[in-house]
Amino acid sequence: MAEYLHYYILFQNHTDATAMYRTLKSSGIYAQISPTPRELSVCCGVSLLIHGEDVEHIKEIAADKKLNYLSIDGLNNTFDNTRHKYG
Amino acid sequence: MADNQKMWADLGMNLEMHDMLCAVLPGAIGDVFMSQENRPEAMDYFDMVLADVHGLRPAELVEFRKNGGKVFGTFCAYVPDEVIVAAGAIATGLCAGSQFWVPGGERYLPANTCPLIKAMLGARFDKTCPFYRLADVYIGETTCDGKKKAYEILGTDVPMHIMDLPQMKREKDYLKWADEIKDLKDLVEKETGTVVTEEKLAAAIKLINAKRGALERLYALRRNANVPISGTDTLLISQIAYYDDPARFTAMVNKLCDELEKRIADGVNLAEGKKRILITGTPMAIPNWKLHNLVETSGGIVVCEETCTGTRYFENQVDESGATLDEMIQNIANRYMSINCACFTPNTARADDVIRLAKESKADGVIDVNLMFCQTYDIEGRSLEERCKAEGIPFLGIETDYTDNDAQQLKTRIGAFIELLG
Repeated sequence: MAEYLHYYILFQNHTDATAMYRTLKSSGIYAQISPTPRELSVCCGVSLLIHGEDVEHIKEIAADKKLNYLSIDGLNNTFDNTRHKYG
Repeated sequence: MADNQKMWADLGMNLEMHDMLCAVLPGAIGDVFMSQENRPEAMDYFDMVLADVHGLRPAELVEFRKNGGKVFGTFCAYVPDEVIVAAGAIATGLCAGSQFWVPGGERYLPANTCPLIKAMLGARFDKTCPFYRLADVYIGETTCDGKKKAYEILGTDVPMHIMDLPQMKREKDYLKWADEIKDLKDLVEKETGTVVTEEKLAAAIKLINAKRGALERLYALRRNANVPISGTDTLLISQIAYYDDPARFTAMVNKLCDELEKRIADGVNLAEGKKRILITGTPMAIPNWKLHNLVETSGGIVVCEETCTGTRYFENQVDESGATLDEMIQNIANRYMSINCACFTPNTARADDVIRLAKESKADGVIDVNLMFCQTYDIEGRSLEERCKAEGIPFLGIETDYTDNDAQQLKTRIGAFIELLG
């Protein structure tokens, strides 16, 4: 069972994020393009939301295909469509 | 994304203050977009643009300017991108859809000014939006008194060019708007050093027509009994339309539409058990997703927007038959004058549009949403309500701003309205 509600792959730039996203999608692995949560980075930018159970597999794919990423981090954040806070 | 910080610093942005916006946007995007189920795969492009909204496109504009390119900032659906594109320049929307920028604007404007105008000034003077830093010249327009006066204040800090939009639709007004577009052409030629030729303008007309055509296709798909995409996702696309590269945007919208056609054929229907709502009123600049989020979490689905971030932006094409520059410019003027904004008198054609679109979209009800202190749209609300009632279309009028303060109250009103639709 995953330790966190959500897991994110963080990147140095969007080029690396796009390469990882395309690879994961073509491998049939769930990935969702996401803004990087504030709790994980102080800078706006693209991250990939992934399933906790795929983390180890994704690390293997990244190593195998030499895909760049900064880290894979877990976070207990929620997506609440009734919060009605818009920024 | 360390690259962004350096770019924002180089643009002279207020990093500390901008960081406060970066702190709240991911949460809002998570709540509004990532909470949705069964979204189209091809939304991934628009998710990417949104996830790095102050990074990706600004970086492209930085590169463009490094190579001598000029960027023109615009605020309104009446400003014809065709002319800017024909001069080899880039047009970018200057959005102003967040409460974050409003207090900064209130330092320069009366509190009883619409939040969009206040946010415009806040974004510029607080130095918290890269697009406002990257535009070499701002193109304003006389679509309301508040904007006209706000442009005078912006003009103290950035080069401004104002297009004098007629407020009536007589033959001489169409000719006048063509004259204003000629002035815009002269300006972009002077700024870019590029002459707008017949060939370049004809190509630009085709490019922007294709963009409008893609959006028209997207909106037509929402009219289907099986609604394949949420109104919130479509609103995001309409917002991105203002500042993305036109050719790439068109390709991505068409790619999405291909998927939506398949979803419809496969029986995907996000409107199942929900009431179909048409939203009309004032523009919803990014990141203003408030009303769509409220409607779509209250038993409704938005199937059409008769707004500047909706049909007003793309309905009607520029006639491509013009051979001379004068003919092309008049054709451009004719298309943009066909937009029905509340700044015109009379403006009964807008109500005609709302009724037509409500019928085409099979809307169960119309919600008229106006930004606080937008007098012309507010005044039109009454006649619009009468027209809708005469057609037997349930109608709800809402006045709001960018704050979250009234969200729960609005949710109660919207929920009750949708419940009464049966």
